[in-house]
Amino acid sequence: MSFTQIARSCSRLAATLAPRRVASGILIQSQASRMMHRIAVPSMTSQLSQECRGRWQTQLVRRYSAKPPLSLKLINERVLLVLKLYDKIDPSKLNVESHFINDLGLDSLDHVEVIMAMEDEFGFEIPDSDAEKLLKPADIIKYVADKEDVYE
Amino acid sequence: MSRILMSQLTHPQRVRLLYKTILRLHRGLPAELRALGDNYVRDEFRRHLKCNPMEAQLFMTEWARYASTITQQLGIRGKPKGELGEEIDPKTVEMLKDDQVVQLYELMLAAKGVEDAQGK
Repeated sequence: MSFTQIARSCSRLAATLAPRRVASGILIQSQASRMMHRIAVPSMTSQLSQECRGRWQTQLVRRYSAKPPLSLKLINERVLLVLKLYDKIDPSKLNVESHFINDLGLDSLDHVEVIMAMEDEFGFEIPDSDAEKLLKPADIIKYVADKEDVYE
Repeated sequence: MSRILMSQLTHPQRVRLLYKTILRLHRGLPAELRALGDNYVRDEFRRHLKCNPMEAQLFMTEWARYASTITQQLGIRGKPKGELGEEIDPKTVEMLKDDQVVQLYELMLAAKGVEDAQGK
């Protein structure tokens, strides 16, 4: 059963269980999210009208087509890969605890470019005040993990 | 508000902020122009790392004006909505040295795809 099919079944089940709460998007969303944790979800015939069903499916399908889930290991690999591809960094000196300026010999402009490369890689913006504190790959990994609510 | 914030920044912070802003604006350019612009910005900022405060002030002013120009030309959605760049002021051309004028002329020929008269 594909992810989209599971999402559609959950949306149908949620709609059937709470017909009077159709207008409340937040409640329906939380119910659908709770049901996502089930191992198997039986499919049920929907009693909603065609128009309503179409709207539901469109919304939920869009909501669930998010970026792939992250783990600490994956974040670690992606951060180090981006750093290895940067031409001013010597890959042999690079590890999670290398200091960009003291150990790798970058200057402040290089540091700005590294932060921008991380923004491109993970798809969100890092404010200047936060960027100034990210001086090691470990700091970046921790920052991204906190941003994406990843803890394991 | 932004003036107060800008005055609180130290000079290195202002330089990094301008550098970052320009690189971000270049994301909206066509790919060829972006590569050209990124390399030029990198070279220029590094060349001026050790310059004196007077030159630094002039440098920052000119690049801030460049960032402002690009911002207006790209528009809100970040897509070019017309011609990029602007004509060079004749007074600026007069300030150039002779070898700089020659270099600029050769650049114009190369950009237009015109063969040099001497066949080089």
